[in-house]
Amino acid sequence: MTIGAQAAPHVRRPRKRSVPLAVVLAVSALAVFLILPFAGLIARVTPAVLLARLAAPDTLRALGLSLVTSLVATGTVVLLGTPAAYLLATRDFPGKRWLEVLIALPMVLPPTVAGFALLMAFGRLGIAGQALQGLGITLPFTTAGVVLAQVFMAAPFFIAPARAGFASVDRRYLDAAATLRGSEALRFRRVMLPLAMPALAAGVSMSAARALGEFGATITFAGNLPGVTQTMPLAVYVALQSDLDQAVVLSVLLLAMSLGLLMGVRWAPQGWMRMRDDAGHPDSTPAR
Amino acid sequence: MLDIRIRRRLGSFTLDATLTVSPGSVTVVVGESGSGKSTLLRLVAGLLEPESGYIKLGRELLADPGAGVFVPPEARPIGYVAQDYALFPHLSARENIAFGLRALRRPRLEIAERVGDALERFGLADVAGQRPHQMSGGQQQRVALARALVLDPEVLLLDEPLSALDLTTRRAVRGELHRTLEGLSCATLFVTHQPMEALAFGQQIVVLEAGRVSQSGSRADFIRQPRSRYVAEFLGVNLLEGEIAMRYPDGLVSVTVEGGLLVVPDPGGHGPVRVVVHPHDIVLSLEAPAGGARNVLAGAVEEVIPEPPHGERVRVLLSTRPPLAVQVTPQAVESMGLRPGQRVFASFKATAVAVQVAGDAPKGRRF
Repeated sequence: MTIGAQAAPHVRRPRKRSVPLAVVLAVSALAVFLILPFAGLIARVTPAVLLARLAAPDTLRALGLSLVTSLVATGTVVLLGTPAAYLLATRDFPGKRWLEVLIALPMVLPPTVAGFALLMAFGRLGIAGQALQGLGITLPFTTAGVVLAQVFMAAPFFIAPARAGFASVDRRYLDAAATLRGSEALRFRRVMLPLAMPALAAGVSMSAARALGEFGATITFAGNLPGVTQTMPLAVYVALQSDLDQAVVLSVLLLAMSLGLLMGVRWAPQGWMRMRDDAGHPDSTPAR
Repeated sequence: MLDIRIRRRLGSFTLDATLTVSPGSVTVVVGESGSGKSTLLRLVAGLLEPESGYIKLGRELLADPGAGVFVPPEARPIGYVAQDYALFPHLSARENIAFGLRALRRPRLEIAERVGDALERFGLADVAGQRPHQMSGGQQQRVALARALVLDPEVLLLDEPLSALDLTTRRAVRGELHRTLEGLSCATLFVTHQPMEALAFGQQIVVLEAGRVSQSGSRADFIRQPRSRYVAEFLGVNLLEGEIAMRYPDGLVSVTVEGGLLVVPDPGGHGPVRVVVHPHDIVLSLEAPAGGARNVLAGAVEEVIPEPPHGERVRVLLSTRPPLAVQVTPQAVESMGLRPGQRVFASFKATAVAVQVAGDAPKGRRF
C-alpha cells in the first residue's frame, strides 16, 4: 500500500453540496406537473394518425397560415423593434419610462383585451380603422389582421432582450469605434449589432414563439375563418369540439415548433459564438 | 500643436487643465488614479464635452463651449488607445486595423495595402487573422497602436498603455513602444500613474494632482525642480519645505525644516523655501564625518530597500531630523552592516542641494 493511499481517508475532498429534501420534492412535483400534459398529448397520438393528419388539407392550411403570419409578424417586430430597443438602450429622454411601460404592456395584458382594443382602433368604426377604410384597407377579419395581432403581442418579447443586449455592449468598444472615425450608424452596424447578436437571436426566437402561439388577440380581432385567419392555435380550439385526433396532431405540431424555438433560444448564443470563432481566416486557429 | 485649456466637472471632481503638445513630441501626463488623467484624454478625444475652455489643434477649434463648437470624436484626426485597448472582440487583428479606413470609405485596394503595411510594421503579420482573445497582451497593444496609427492621426492619445500588461511583458513592450513613439510625427499625449514611465517617455511632463496641473515642463525641469511632495516622491528625491532662519556672509543660509536645520545656498528673497536633496548626494558613515560637509545629521536607519530588488542600488531611509532617503551601493550596505535601528551619520555639502523660494526658479546646483 502506498503512502498516498493511506493518507487518502484523511484528505477532505470537496463534496457536492447536497440538496435539501424539501427542494427535491418541490422540484419533482413541478417537473411531473409540467411533463404530464405533454406526455398525455403525445401518448394520445399514433404515428399512423400523425402522418395521415399531417398531410390533410385542413392541417396544411392552418400550418401554412401560421408559418406565414408569424414569419411576417416576427420580421415586422424586428424591423420596428430594433430602433426602439436601440433608443431605449442608448438614450435618456423625457417620457422614456412611459414608453417602456407602453412597450411592455402587451406582455401582461389579457390577449382578448388586446384584441378588443385593436378592434376599437382598427375596426371599421375605430379611430384608425375609418381612415384606413378611406384608403381601401381593411384589417379586421383578414390575414393582415392576424399579423397585426401577432405583432402587437409579440413585440415586447423581442424588444426587451434586444434592449438588454444593446445595453450590455461595452461602451469602450463604441468609444473606440468613434475615435476610429465611425459614425453612429457604422458603430451600430459593425460593433453593436454583432456584439448584441446572441441577445437579438434570443429575442427573435421568443417573439416568433409568441406570434406562433397567439390565440386570444387573433380570434378577437381577426376572427376564425379557415384559410384566412384560422391559425394553428385557433384550429386546435375548433378541432377540440369536433375532431379530437385533429386537435392532438395540431397540438403536437405546435409543441414541436415551440420546443424548437425555445431550444434555439438556449443554444443559439453559444452556437453563434462558435460560428464566429470558426469563421474568418484559415490561419485564425490559436498558436500552440 | 495641440492646445488645451479646459474645465469639466464630473460629480464632485473638477478637471481644470491647461497644456500644449507639439507635433513630433511626447508629453506625458502623470498623476495618481483619480487625478483626472483619463478624463483629460476623453475630453481631447471628444468622448466628453468640456464645460468651458477650448481644445485647439493647429488653427482648428475642436471644442469651445463658449463659441458653441464641438467636433464629434469621429470627425477629429485623433487616435485614441484606451487603457485595455478595447479591441473589437468579434474582429480579427486585420479587421480591427482596417476598421477606421473602412469607416473613412477608402478604396478597397488602399485599405488592403495600408493594413498590410501596418501589420508588417508592427510585427503582426502572423496573427493577422486572430481575434484579440487569441493574442498575447503585447500583440493586443500593437494591434491597438496599429489601429490608431494606420489613420495617420495628428494626435495620438495613450491611456496607461502598459498597465494592462503583466510585468515580464511590460519590460519588453516598453522598449518597443518607445521606438514606435520616437518615429511618430504626430503630437502624442501619454497618460500614466507611473513615474518611471513619465521619465522614460516624456519629453514634456505634466503633473496632474486632483484635477489640476501642479507642474509642467521639460523632463529636465521635472527632475531638477520638483514642485510638490508628490513629484519628489515620484523621483525618489528629498523635498524639504522650510523657512530661512539666518543668512551667512558666504552666500549660504540656514533653513529650518521639519525640526532640523540645514545650511544651503541663498535663494534670495523671503518666505517659504523648498530644498531638494538627491539621495545619491548624501554620504552615510558610522562615525561623525571629518570633512567639510556643512550638513551633518545623526539618526537611525529605518529601512533598507534594494532597488530594484537584488538591484545595483539600495535606498536607505533614515529617521534623521528632517528624515532623509539616501542612495548607496549594496557594497556599502555590506561593509557598514546597515540594518534597521543602526545609528548613522548622513552628510552632504551645502552646494549639493537645490533651493527655491516657493514659486521661484531654483538657485544653486542643477541636477
